[in-house]
Order: sequence, then C-alpha cells, then structure tokens
Amino acid sequence: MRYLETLRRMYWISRLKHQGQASFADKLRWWRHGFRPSSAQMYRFPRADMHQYVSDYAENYGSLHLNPVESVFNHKALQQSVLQAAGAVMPELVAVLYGGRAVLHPLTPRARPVGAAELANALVAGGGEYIIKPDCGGGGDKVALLQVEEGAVVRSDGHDRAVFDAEAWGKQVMLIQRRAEPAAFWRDLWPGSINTIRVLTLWRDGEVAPFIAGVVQRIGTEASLPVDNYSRGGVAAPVDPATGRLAAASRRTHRERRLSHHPDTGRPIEGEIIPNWDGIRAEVLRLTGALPLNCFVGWDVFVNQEDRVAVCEMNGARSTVTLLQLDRGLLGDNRVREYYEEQHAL
Amino acid sequence: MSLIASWRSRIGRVRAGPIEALRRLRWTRVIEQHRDAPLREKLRWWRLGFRVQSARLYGFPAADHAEYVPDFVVSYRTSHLNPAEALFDHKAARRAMLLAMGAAQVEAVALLWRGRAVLHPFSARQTTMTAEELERWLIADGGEYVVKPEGGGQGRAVALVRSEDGELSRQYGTARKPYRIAECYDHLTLVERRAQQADFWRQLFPDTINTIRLLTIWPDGERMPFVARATQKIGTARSVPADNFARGGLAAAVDVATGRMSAARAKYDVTKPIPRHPETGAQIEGTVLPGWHELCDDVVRITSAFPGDCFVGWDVFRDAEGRTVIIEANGGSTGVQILQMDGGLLSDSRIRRFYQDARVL
Repeated sequence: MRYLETLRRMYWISRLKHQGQASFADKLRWWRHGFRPSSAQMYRFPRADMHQYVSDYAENYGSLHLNPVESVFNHKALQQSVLQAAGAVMPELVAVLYGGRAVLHPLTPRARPVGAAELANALVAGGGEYIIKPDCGGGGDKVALLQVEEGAVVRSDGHDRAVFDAEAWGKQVMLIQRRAEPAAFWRDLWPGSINTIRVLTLWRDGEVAPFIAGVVQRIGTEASLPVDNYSRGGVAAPVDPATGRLAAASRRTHRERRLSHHPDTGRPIEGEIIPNWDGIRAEVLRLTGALPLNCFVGWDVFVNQEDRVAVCEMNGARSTVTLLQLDRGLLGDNRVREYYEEQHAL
Repeated sequence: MSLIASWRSRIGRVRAGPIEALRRLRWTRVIEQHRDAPLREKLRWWRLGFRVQSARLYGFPAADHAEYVPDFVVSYRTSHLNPAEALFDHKAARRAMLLAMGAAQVEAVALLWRGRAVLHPFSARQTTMTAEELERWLIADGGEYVVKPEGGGQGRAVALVRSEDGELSRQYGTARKPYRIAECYDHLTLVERRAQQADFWRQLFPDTINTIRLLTIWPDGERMPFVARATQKIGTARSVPADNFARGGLAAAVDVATGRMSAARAKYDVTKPIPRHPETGAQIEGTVLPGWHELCDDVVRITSAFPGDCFVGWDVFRDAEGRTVIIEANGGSTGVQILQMDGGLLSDSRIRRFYQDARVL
C-alpha cells in the first residue's frame, strides 16, 4: 500500500503547475516526497531538512478539510460581509458586476442596481483608482486597475490598457473596490502595488485562541503590476513573527537566490522592521477569533495611510504555504506540526 | 483538467440516450420512496421526471405536466442558476452578507465549532469562549433558542432549546429531553434567539415561526428582480420547532398579486385541501396576508443588493415589530414543490424564459 500511495502522490504532484526547470531524475526525486521541483529549489533542498516542510502534496490534497466552511474563503463578497461585521477595515467595495448588470454600493443599505453606462458615470464621478477582481479566484488572476482618465474609465492590466466595458464580464461575478493606498513604509518599498503581508493563522480544536504560524511580506515589482502576487512576478520576504523583521526576499524567476534589496527600487528589504508589528499581529488575531470557523486562514493585510490595519482578503486551506516556508519549514514549529497531525493533513 | 474530470464534464452535458436513461434510473433510487404508490403509477411519473408525491400534489394528470418544473430537473440541473451557489450553502456566512445589506435578521447568539464558540458573532460585542462557557451563559440567560446546523436544509436537526431549572432542554417535534452543547461538537452550529412573530402569524400556529417562501428571479439583462411565486408555511405539532413541509408542516400557496392564501396542503395527504389549521382552527383559505406588498418590496430590495442573486427562495417572516425578517436564502437547487401547488412555474412566461435561457429545461 505504501508504494501505491507513493505512486499516487507522484502522479498528483506531476500534474501541478509551476514545476520549474529540473531534470527528470530530480523531478522523480522530489515528486516521491510530495514536492514540486520548484518548491525544492526554493527551500534549498537537500541542504534544508525536508521533514520540516509541509509538502505541496499535503498542501494541495491533504488540507482541503481544514476549514469547515471553505466557501467563505472562495468568495470575496462573502468575506467582505463577514469581515465588515467583525469590524475589519477594508477597501471600499464600490460595485459588483454580473450578467451585464451592476449594483452600486453593494453590501450596504444604499445598494442600488444600475446599468453599465450608469456604473461608468458613477466611477468617473467618484474619481481616483479602482481595482477590479473576480469574486472567486486567486493568484491575482483577472485582477486589473481601473483609472479615470479624461472622463472615461480605463482598464490596465500590466502594460495592457483599454477602455473599461462593464458588460464584457458576462457570467462571472466581479468586484470593484476603491484602490487603497498603503502607509509610507510599504509605499517606499514599491509604489505600484499595495504590498500586503500574508499572515497564516491556525486555530486548534478545543483551544479558545488562534495563533500565528507564519508571516511573509509580499512586494510588487514592475512585472507584477498592479498586484504584488509572487506568482505574477512579485517578491516575497519572510517575516519573523516575533519581531516583524524582514529577511532577504525570493523571486519566482530566481528561486534559489535571495534579494537583500528590491530589484526595481533598490530599497533595502533584509533587516527592515515592519512598523507597528505588534498592532498588526493583534488585529489579525482579533479578526481570526471573530469566527470559530477560521481554523486555517492566510490573511492578506496591509496598513493604510491612516495607519490602520486593513484586510485585503482572507484565504482558506488552499492558500499557499510555499511562501511561508521560504526560510524555514512550518513543521519546525511544534504547534504547527501538532496542528497538522491532529487534522491528519500530512 | 484531468482525464477523469474531463470525462465527467462531457458526460454531464449529455441530455439524451442511454446516459440520460441511467441518470434518471439513479435518480429514482435516491428520491423519496412511496410504499402506497403502485409501480405503474411510479413509472408513469418518474419517466417524466416527477416524484409520485409531486404528481399527486400538482393534481396530475388533470393538470398539464408541461407547465411544471420536474423534480429531476431540480435535482440535477439547477445548481448553476446562480453564479455563486456556495453563497446559499452556509447560513452564518450568508447572515453576515444580509446584515451588511441592512436586512433584519433573527439575533445570532453564538456560533460553535469543535469545542469553541463565538458569542454575539457578527457584532461589536463578539467574545470567544469554550462550549462549556457558552452552555453556562445560555442557562444563565434563561431564554429560548433555535439551534441549527450551519449547512442544513428542510429543518433537519433544528432544535428548540430552553433554559429550564438550571439546565438546557431540547424540544424536537413533541419530544423533550436534556440538551448538552457538546452534542454539536463536529457540526458548525448556529444558536439563534427564538424570534417573536406578528400577531397574524402567531394565531395561525403559535409554536413555530411561520415563514413565507418567496421565490425571486432576476433574468440576465433586466434591471430589477421580480417575485415569481410565494407560499406560506405553517407549523404543526408534528413539525415543531420548524414549519417545514417535509417535517409535517402545512404549505398554502399565496397569490403574489394580492397576498391571498389558498387552502393548505400537508405531506401526509398531499391531495387533500386544508382550509383551516387542523390544530388551532385558524382560517387559511381566502385569508389575505397583512402588509403583503411591503413584504414583497422589502424582499425585492434585498435581492437587488447583489447582482448574483438570480434565483433565490427566501424564507421570511414579519416580526412583532412589523419588520420583514429574513430567516435564510435558498439557492438554485432549492425545492420548488411547494411553490407549484397552485399551478406550474412554467405557466408564467417570464419564469419559463428564465429556465430556458439558463438551459435547464
């Protein structure tokens, strides 16, 4: 049975995306242990002890039951409601689109259905910049920037620009949020994106309080515009959960190399300390404790210009733990290992 | 997409031939069994996609079956009527969404999961505690609560819990027994304070909240949703603490234009019209629901606050303060049986067009 399980694991891992460049022998070597070659390179195996790392197999196929209501994490509109009720600060949700129609100010008592033309007028009247993103999706996929220029709404995705057409979205629920501005520390790191902190919180059965298992600072680059996602070319720097100190960052294109400075701005990353880290940590733990179903959550948070901790989104058990293991495996922490073992997720 | 997923997707799109025949055969094995129905009657209606109970409720063959949405279609083809069906699967998360829209809700006392609880969730007063602490809190509070699984339907596992003589007791149907919060350890569970309904509905049957099921439809390209059908559900001693038809409650069709109720029906004899409540004697047939048009307006306003709410079965009631309170929202795969008692949904051209556009029929 053990061999059968190994074969099954190898089959599933081989089907995952982002395998990276590796010889077939290397692929077989890492697939056998449940890792993609790209992850193995990022974790610097075999130098690091692979038993301290949550494998890609465990992440993709063993973790799906960790939250009792995974759909809360799959739908950003639901998240927005749950977090608003918990008193979280979030970017303003301006509109929701579906099937050629839109609702302005959704999830508020002021909600009002409007047509495509009226939506465009409202965005122009509101001015500023907006982010459009799918209700259900991840990895920055289909996320674009909306800007008001000369009385029209222009949609930018990377360096592609076109006039925004609300009716073009058809059969997918899309959210339009006002673009938030981060506090000075994060704006200085890279001004083109919000530069969110991914905080992984775990909540063990029978315990009254959750805890923080891992933290990583994501920073956008020229390649990842308008988002900071690692999968779209951003960089990620591990954060010491105790002190908020940043370690050297990693980039998808050079997984084994570590960057002490931002590749585009040249700003130092390694050794920097996140301002008000204790406040950020406390707010994330408070929000996790607001719902008992928040068992395994990857929080994307940032600090806004008013120095308030704001939530971009929360990710469920499918949230990637790869970035959180850049410097050390999550299983090196006994509480995290016990959590995974109790949930039979390894 | 893996090979298996690709095959499953292809098979899912086949609507004819032996694959469809096998699918229908499988369906007949999972639907409710009718021991009193002869095989000939079963075969006659199963072939057309209807359960025997539905065929009898709808008055077939006198009524034209082409005007009714078959049970088979509801079971297999309606899960995509809304773009995000998951929004309807979980009561707690949906509650947060409705609260944000400004919809009145029954007070959520606690949300429980695996030995921990959040008291007063979705409010500024929220507090995290253990399940044992919650139990002590409920006993000390001394109120009446409705305890229900977060992801259930048809009133399954819904219990009325009271604080009596320093302990919790549970009423399910007519039975009462001691209740421990630890019973729901492995189920995400919502504890609500028992609501008070307006006089009219309390007089219909006082031991349950008698909700109205309102079906709203929002066709693509239209500016506003509309109320397609409505049914008043009324509890009985058998269905306490819920009012669900499936648990022995009554259901009376409501004329959407006027708010007037028809005679009710009950699951145990679907062909027999019930003009008065069998236990309270309250008149059902011909009675007009008070504040009907305001209630419809409230529900349409809430529906129009999220563009993805294309096909929703709302369970609502009018509370003692006269507010329209949403109990829950049911999505595309919600049963339409009690909404077709006084005529098939497809007899309305707007509803038929919606189903046709969604490629469900």
